[in-house]
Amino acid sequence: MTLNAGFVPGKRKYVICGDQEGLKQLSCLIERIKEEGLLHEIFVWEGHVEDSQLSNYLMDQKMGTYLYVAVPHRQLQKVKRVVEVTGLTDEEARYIGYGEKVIRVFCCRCHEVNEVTSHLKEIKCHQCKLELSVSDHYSVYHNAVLGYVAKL
Amino acid sequence: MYKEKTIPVVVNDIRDETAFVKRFRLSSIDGKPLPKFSGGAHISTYIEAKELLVRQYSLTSNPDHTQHYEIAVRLSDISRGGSRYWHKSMKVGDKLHISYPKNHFPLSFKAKHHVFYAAGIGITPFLSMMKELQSRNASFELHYASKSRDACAFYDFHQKHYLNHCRFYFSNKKERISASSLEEHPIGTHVYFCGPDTFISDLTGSAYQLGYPPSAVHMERFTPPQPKEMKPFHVQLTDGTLIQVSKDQTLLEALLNNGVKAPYSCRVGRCGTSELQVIEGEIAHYDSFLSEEQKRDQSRILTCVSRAKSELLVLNV
Ligand code: FES
Ligand SMILES: [Zn+2]
Repeated sequence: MTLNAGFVPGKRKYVICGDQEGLKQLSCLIERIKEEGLLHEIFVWEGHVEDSQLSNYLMDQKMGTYLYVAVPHRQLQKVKRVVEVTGLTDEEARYIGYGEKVIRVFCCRCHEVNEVTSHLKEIKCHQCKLELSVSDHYSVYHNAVLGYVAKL
Repeated sequence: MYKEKTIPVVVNDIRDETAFVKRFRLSSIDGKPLPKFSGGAHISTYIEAKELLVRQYSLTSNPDHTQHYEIAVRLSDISRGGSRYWHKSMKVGDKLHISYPKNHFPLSFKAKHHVFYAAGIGITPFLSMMKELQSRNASFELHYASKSRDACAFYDFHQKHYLNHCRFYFSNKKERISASSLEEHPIGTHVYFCGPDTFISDLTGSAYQLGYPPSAVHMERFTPPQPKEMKPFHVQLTDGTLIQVSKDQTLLEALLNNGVKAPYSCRVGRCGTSELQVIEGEIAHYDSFLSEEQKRDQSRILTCVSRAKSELLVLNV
């Protein structure tokens, strides 16, 4: 399967950032960029790459650059935060997650963040063992949705 | 008395900046500080000459120092009275009214770096913006095109205060701002353009072509944007009179030619004086006075610049 990343035309340079699997999923897009002879660069982002390497690399880029990111869902938010600090906005980047989608659930009792697969409605906090119902209240501060007491 | 709430002020200093640009310092009549403003803001000035002259000028003073305001006025070759009055008749001690500061050209809070492109008197809004950025310790640079060093307003000021932030381009030395300069700005940059219409549209076009996102491109026009095609249309007055507006005439001109006492002052769509109510028909707005919402509402027109999209406009006059 390849992901449909939606080619955004009219940029002077394209940067494609992903791990091996992510780049494989973007192969159609990369092919197209190559075919059209557009200026592009690939930044291989593996788990062991320091955040600062990516942000230093991006900070050397000029206006008119468009970024594609393809990494596992569980890493998407982290990469997004690194990118945003460099000044690249949502208008200039597209984020594509693949694989199992995880969500982060903030425990209302012990404030632990639990990473769980996205389809679960109720979870048990792995730290305090409280039964939590997964809400759709997202907290930017915790980068997690809030988990409320499931059984009163 | 005027179209908006105003503040009475007195002119307490006048300086020649160049042969064609004068600086005016205004302070409140009771000596109290004037309202706060942000970089890029402008005021309307109301001068009672033979007719009422309403003009807009960027505030060039430091937004943190509101004991007085400063504006810079260029004597326009095609002055309809505003800049000529400021240059020839205004004296220290003269009183006038000004509007509260408004800002259609604010600094972006998201930018990591700000780049200003000015041509001629288009430098004025950037003066307060750069003062604000400097006090915030923010990163900025200025590209400033002028006919010559002598004609370059605030040249010494920039040399003294922002030496490493400025680059000058003098056309008498065959120097020009080139669009390739836009290729050099790092990501997170916001660009701001101010100057003649072609200067703005050339740079804006180049920025978009490079792939700048629209939200990173800001501009301030001193003249109204020219409609791409000037189509003729008709207007109908409340008494049934039909007036034809030809393709090289403004609605205001057509009304005045036909003996309608239509109000006006700035004639460039910035002061709001020429507003008339529209009862029927679709308006093509070209002014920079009405808000987006007021424009969408399609119920008023600034006759000095705006035109009809439909064949006919029915005016309440
Ligand atoms: S005369 Fe000033 S807006 Fe039309
Ligand atoms: Zn818990």
